[in-house]
Amino acid sequence: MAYRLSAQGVIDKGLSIIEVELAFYDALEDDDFQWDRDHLLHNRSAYELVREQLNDAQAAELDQVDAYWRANPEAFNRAFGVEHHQHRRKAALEGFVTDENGDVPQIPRGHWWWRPIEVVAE
Amino acid sequence: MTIAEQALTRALSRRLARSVVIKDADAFQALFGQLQTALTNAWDEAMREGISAALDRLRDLGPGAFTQEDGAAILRVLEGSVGAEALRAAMREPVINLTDALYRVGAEEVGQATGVAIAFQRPDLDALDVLKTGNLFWIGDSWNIRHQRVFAEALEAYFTEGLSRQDLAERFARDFAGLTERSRAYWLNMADHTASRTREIGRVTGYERAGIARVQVRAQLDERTTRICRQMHGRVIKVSALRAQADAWLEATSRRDQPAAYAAWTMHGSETDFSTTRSSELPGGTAGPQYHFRCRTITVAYFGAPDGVAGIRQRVTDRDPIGAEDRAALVAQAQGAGFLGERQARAKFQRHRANIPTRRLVQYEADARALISDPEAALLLSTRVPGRNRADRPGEAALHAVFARPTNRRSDGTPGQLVTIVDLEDGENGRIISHHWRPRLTSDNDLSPAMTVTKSKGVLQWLTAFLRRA
Repeated sequence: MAYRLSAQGVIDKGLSIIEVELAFYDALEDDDFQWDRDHLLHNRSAYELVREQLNDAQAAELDQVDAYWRANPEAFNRAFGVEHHQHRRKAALEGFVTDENGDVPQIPRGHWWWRPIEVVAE
Repeated sequence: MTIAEQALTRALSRRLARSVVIKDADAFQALFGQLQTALTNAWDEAMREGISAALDRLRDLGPGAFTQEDGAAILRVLEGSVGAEALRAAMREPVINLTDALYRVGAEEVGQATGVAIAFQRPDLDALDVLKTGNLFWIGDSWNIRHQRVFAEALEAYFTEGLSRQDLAERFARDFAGLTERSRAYWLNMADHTASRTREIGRVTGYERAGIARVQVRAQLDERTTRICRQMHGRVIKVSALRAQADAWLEATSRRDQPAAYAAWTMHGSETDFSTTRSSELPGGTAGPQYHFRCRTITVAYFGAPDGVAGIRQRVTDRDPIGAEDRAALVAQAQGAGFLGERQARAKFQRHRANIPTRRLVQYEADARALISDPEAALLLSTRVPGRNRADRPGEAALHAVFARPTNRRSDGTPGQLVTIVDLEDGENGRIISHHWRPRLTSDNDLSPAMTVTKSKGVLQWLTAFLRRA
């Protein structure tokens, strides 16, 4: 299915996704950045849905974000704790991405970042 | 001992138990635990009897295939042990006594908090009588609303599989022991629900007797908090609304009218959305907790609206309109607010610079402040738990002002909003905590969603409603 971003210019211009959309992906522990993190998960999902439209560098940026989050599960769970439990799966991506019919897609089950990461005790 | 002497002895022992219970700081938890134990023990015992009787019946039926008629007979046998009447008989004493104690704990909690001795009056005692028999009724009704169906389905599987009666005996004993075990969770939930509701109705009496007119809803805010409890957290509710809700539930319960009882006290699922509903316009079935099964939310006495920013926060929490006169005061306060520390300002500027008009770090603060003073900027208010409160005061929200102006993102021209966000309760005059571009103004992190305070007096729009229509 062909999805379209609300910010399609990022793809058209080949901009850095981290610089434009996910700049605070690694600022998980500082509460001063609470407002700045507000839509990281939404953007992460939107760009995953259009992954096939991204250039290699952009796709690698998504992997970089994922790797950082997976490597810091406790900080990740704390930073996104409210959104993990409060988001509405069917409506969360409104304003970020649409499908080929112009409808808002629901968050796919495979988008693991909408759930807490299980922290394994060492 | 005569019946009269026995009755007197029981009454005295209950009174003594009450006085001990009320002095115990953990009274509710202790009583709740007792109710859980009483219900699960009674259930286990009743199921043991039921399984034993059903096995006897199977043996009496003799050899042959297990039929639908046999299933109905076994179900009748089980009903004798775990049906509505049997459960009510088995659980009568603990439920009646603990209902009394939990109700009084609820009332006394209010009394202790307000320094008022709660004297029960005739209407309270009448309500308590209804509550006792009502709780017992709902517990017994578990047969009708759950267990009969569960057991019938299990029995149906046996004759669908074509088992003989001989084959069945062993399967039955094993499967129904499993059902007994799985039902423990049901009874733990039932104890939780019964104890919490009884306590809350007791608290209503406490509020009335203490002369409290309004209460504030307090949810336990953590990652397990449900959407409905986040939406209710901090709201101020009239005690008269709590009373109306409790009375409607008690009245429906006294008639054993299950649909009316459910309507009188709504248990919400995940689809309920009161995020933009004013507290004064909530439906009658949504006044006091519980708002859902296993609800941890409580109410506390509310002694009147504070002044200043805290008062506006309360009105935002109650989704009440904010007048134009408040806008002027809020803008004035935001203009005098402090700014980010140097390290945070640099970090934010560097990460946001691709999207905002500001070109140099030295201009970042000035541009943030310019938006506050921009007469064209929209002012929105929302509440959320600020980072500084997350560890020690996770239930304390702060009022945030969002000054916003429609702006295309510098990097790619995407339409959105340039915002300056002010935590109005950080320090004496508040603090500007960010200046950035964002695609939308609402967030799940808000407790009260952003609402627009327009410049025209008396006109208010809920941003979320606007965005949904757009």
